[in-house]
Amino acid sequence: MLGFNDYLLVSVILFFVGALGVLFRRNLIYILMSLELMLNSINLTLIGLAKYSNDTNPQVLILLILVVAAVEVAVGLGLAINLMRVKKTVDVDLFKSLKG
Amino acid sequence: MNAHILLPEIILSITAALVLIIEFLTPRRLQFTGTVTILGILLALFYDLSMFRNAGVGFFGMVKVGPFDRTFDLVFFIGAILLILLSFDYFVEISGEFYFFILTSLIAMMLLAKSIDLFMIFLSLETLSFSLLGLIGILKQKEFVAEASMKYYLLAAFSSAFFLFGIVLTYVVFQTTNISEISNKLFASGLTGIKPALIVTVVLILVGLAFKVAAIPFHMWTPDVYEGAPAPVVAFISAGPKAAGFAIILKIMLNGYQSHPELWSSIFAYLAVLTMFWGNLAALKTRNLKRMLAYSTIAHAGYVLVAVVSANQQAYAAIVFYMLSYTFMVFGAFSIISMLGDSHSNLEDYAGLSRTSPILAFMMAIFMISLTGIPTTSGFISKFYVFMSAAKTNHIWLVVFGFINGAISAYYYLRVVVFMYMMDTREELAIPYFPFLRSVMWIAVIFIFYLGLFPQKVFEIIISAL
Amino acid sequence: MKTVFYINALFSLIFALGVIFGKNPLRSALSLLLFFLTIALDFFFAGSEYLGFVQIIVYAGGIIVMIAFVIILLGLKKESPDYDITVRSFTGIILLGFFALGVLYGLAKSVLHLIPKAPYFDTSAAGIGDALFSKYLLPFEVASILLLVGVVLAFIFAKKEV
Repeated sequence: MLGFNDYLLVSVILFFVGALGVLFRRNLIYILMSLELMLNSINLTLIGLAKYSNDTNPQVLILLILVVAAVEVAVGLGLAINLMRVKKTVDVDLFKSLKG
Repeated sequence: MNAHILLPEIILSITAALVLIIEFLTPRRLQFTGTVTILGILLALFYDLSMFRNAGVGFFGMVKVGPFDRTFDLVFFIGAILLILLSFDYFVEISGEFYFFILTSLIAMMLLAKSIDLFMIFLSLETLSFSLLGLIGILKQKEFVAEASMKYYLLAAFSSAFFLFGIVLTYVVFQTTNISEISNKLFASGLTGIKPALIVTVVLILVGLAFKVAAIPFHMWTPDVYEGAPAPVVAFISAGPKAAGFAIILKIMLNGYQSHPELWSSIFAYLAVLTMFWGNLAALKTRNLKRMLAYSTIAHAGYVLVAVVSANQQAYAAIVFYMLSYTFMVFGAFSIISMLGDSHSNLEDYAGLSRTSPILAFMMAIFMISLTGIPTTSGFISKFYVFMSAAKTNHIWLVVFGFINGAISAYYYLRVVVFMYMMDTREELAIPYFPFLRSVMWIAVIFIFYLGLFPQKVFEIIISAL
Repeated sequence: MKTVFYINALFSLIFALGVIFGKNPLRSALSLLLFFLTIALDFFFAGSEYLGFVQIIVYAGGIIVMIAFVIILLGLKKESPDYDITVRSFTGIILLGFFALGVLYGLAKSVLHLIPKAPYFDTSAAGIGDALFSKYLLPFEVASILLLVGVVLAFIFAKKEV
């Protein structure tokens, strides 16, 4: 019997796969795609929640998260174009460049 | 629906649209666009103050406005106006969208301080992050600006994904995203059966919030972004958005989970100590003034977190007072950094400043002394209130760590003073006369001494707003 | 039903791994497209056709096209290993793994009761629209500000002059 916990399990696994991609890819485009993976897997939890509590509100949240995801990609791609123009590369390497 | 309680935000949104239209019709007239922006902000500020005591819930339980939230608004307004003043002298030619981003970030911060719905907080946080990205990257053709904005974007997007996941899991646990309903449910049914899941959600949410206030472990972006971004923008980021971050922490942790402090109290205590120590120790070895102030911002976030741990009425007021006085200190310091220019922000460039321009050196010394927290300045009073609230709630060890850190920080703040007064100039630095930068400097100095010598009145207003 | 769901989930996982381990950017974008389609299938399984179609139209029709367009514009080619495992990134990945296990453990240890809020599951566009324009009116407005900020920001970064 399919239950909410199945949705939750798949969602958590996909979320952390996306996080893995953000952490160890260097190319900005790949990082953007991994961020999309993370946001989409969150939607999976929300649709499970909506289905098993007969609630409309999570569906509205999915629509609004879609807006956020679209904005993130649009801005990120603009940044990539600018970075390519200025530095001639879209490699970022989060671990090396953050001198923190 | 009670729409009128958000009247200041509505005015600001209309101004933002107006600024875009003005920029389209008469491009690149900075002072004109900026003046329109300031007028819009002043109008919003007027309505905000005239409705100061109006409290209420609006927009179907999405926002809850009280006098305390409006005291936070005051910090945001001051930061925005000072940033616009600084921008008149600092930027030679930029597109007027700069002022659009100031307005949208102002709207986002004000909504953050007022929302009582977790999802609403998430959306405002995203709006804030992207608006700040616009401010950071306004001089995008410079290489280090391109890099700084890219880093800021990546870490903002990454941490907000974790924040969103935390919110969604909270939704799963409580079947509501409304903070007061969550609080009611916790009071009614307690933690049985949901405690592990709750800890997971609190940790996920904290990842997002720690990024906003530059606390450990999401402090890494701060130094790089501070070094790369334009100096006025850096001053703005370290004042307003940070206050907004603390406003949400107060909302979520103290209002939502107030019946179960064991969930978050100790986490914040460790975060506070780690953040203080890391910020201060890292600031010791850097010789770039912008980077040093970035580390000191992290340390100051640690001091404010001490007040968050105390979690009583006086601590809330202490947080607002701290952010208010910190706004003036940081804007004062960055107005002088802007005068010397971003490329001259190494300690060596400040050597012998007391001889070439004695007034600037004296003012810089005052800002450094205030940041250290020496009496008669507002830096001392704000630290005093924070540690008082911690001492009253028996967090003596936090107070002790706070004092140790104050001593460490004195070294690197006073080193700037030593450079200005005791070292010799290597090269003459001709500093032109900047009217707007100077006026911001004077405003900052006046308020530092006003808040330092007569804090009682301001503090009472904040306390009475609680 | 459960088997179908998990087969679909397996495909989601395969495509997700294809995105993050891919060497050719365009192929990764294609993999991302297929991932979006599997998520849309999940929406259909849950009964929410409206969201499923929105997912396909917006993600597949909009976002993927945008990403593919930029990949072609920037002329990104297949790159020899663009990820390398250093000590620091390795510890980051290990920490992330522990974090993931902690999240799973914490969720598995708790009892999550989902109490139905309505007698039936309203998936119609009308029901969603009702909620969007009543309870979620303010988030909707903030989302519009966010979109405006995003448009101006993308424009600012992508245009040539300052």
